[in-house]
Amino acid sequence: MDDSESPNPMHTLRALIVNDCRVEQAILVGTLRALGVESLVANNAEEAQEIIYEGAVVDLIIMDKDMPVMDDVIHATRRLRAMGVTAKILGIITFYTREAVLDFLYAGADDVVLKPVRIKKLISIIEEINNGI
Amino acid sequence: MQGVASVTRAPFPPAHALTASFRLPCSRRRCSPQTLRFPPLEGYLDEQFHQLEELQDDVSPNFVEEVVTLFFRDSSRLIGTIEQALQKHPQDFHRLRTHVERLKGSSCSIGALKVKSECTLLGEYCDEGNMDRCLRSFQKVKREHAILRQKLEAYFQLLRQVGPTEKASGSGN
Repeated sequence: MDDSESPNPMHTLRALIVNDCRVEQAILVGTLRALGVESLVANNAEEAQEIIYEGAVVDLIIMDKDMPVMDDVIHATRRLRAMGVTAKILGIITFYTREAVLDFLYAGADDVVLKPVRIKKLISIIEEINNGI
Repeated sequence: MQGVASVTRAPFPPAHALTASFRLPCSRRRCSPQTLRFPPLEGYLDEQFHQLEELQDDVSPNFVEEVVTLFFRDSSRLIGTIEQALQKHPQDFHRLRTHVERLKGSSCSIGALKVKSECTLLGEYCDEGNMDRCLRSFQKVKREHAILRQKLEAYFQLLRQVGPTEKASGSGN
């Protein structure tokens, strides 16, 4: 790849938001839209995996750990990595515990943050994606 | 309809054009620092709310009010669920905590500082399995939720009166 140009100037980044809370979905979609990122939304880990199985290509996956079946999110993260998904995975949690963070990281998440997800964090992740980090 | 996915198109400059000093294009922003001139909201909302206001633009001029409306609709339902859960005997504190986490999560997302704080305490009491404290803490959650709703309703009413072109010009109160 020629380093003098962006990874793909015509490529609009896409994110998959895995979250069953409509408020948080709306905020993440709106925030990502403002940052020039298209969004897909899945209401649970199973839907997220279906979206990927069906061929959707995303650059970023934002996984909310605090959904009705919490372990599904961790298992889904592990399965997505096992499938070869290389998208950045950002885990988000509501209550901090060392265990929650480690569960996510060991499953293959690139980072874990407490809610709410700040714009600065998303900008930093988007820059990493653009720089191929 | 597939049902599980929705795609929104991004009208802003593509993400690859972002730099570390990214700011939303001024022509797209509607500066809305009105929370700084609305003393009743001070202490009730944190930086997250201001961040949401920064996202408002010509494409989504009512983004914040829409999100807030959605929040109160969902959180009212959650509060009802928690209230019912608190009446169960024996108490399932794990399940109760799950509901509290969901309420805290959405409160965090809109910057509802006091509601979030009370949810944190309620979550701790759930972990302790202390029913009395859970009940007292839950009343505080409900109170802060109701107060915030009133204040935000007043705030958005004020914004509608002021109009979309009004900008903060300093300290004037």
